[in-house]
Amino acid sequence: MTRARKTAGGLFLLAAAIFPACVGAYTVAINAGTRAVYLRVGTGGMTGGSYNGGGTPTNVTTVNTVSVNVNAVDVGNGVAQAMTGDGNTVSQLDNFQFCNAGQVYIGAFMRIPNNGGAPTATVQASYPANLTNASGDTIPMSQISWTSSGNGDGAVQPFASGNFTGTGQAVASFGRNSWNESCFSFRYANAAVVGSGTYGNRVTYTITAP
Amino acid sequence: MTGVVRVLALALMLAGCPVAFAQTFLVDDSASQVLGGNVRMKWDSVVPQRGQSSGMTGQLTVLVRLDVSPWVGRNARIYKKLPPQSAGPIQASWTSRGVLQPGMLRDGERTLVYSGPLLTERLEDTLQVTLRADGDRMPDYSQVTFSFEIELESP
Repeated sequence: MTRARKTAGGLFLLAAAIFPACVGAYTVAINAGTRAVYLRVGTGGMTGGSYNGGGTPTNVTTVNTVSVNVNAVDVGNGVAQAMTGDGNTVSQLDNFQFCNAGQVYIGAFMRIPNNGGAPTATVQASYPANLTNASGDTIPMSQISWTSSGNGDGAVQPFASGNFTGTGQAVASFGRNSWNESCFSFRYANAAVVGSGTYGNRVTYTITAP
Repeated sequence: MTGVVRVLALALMLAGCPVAFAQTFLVDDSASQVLGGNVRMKWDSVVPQRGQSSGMTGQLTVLVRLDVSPWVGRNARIYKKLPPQSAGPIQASWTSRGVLQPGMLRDGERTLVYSGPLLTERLEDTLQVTLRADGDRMPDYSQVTFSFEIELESP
């Protein structure tokens, strides 16, 4: 070993003595918060107050109704008829009177951590193609549409205005960790002459999240 | 660079100590222990709030054991450090029971936990740590690594 190399070797030992082995640095493993999805259409259930008040949502089996009576002389005249819903109109986030009487409340969220990408939840409306009466007469679901709004909200709603078409469609898509709610005002287009009777159909809303 | 300086630099790298300046060293805390396994974070609010970010909070207990034997008899300042986190901003706050100071720090920062003479070879304390993170950015599983570094006062 040359003299220079001896010196370098000595310095290495010295340095190792001055700077102790750097082990440690404690590590904490973290599991993110639990996932959740929420969907309410019409009347919702909540125990213990509003969400913000510490309440807990409950499963509600109530099927709300949206209806309109069309006078015989008006049937098929092409003048849209406002329909009236019968559900609860208060937002259960904070018990704010978000919708007005006759409107149908719809609200949803998806609670998930960030695992990359841009995950979206989708709310889908599904229904048979027609309303039917006892005689088997039909009215296509496309005769029913809705306008979306919310008290205190702007024009842009998370659940947009639209109309039923075919046997179903997505009525909203949204990202994680956002509160989404709107109020639907339904109307019947009244564009076709149909037989008398009570026509009915059922729309089922489902939420899908990754 | 001379050969001697080059070897000294290599020695510093091998030692693995991030040296901020001449008298800052990483403290060996390999005897520290995180109790309770994984920290289960909870949403600050069960439901997303209108126009607000989604915070998460979790708590843990850490038995901190710092090997300060190389510096016994010296006056020193010891800092707790949390490097920047890719999973979004994290804030840690803690209370202590013994020799270390309670405090708070955000990722990318360090904060003072001890100042004074080192009279024993080991500093021990139990920290009750609260972690706060951005739930919009935190993945299902992640890790954060704390470290301690010491600055010696000039003799």
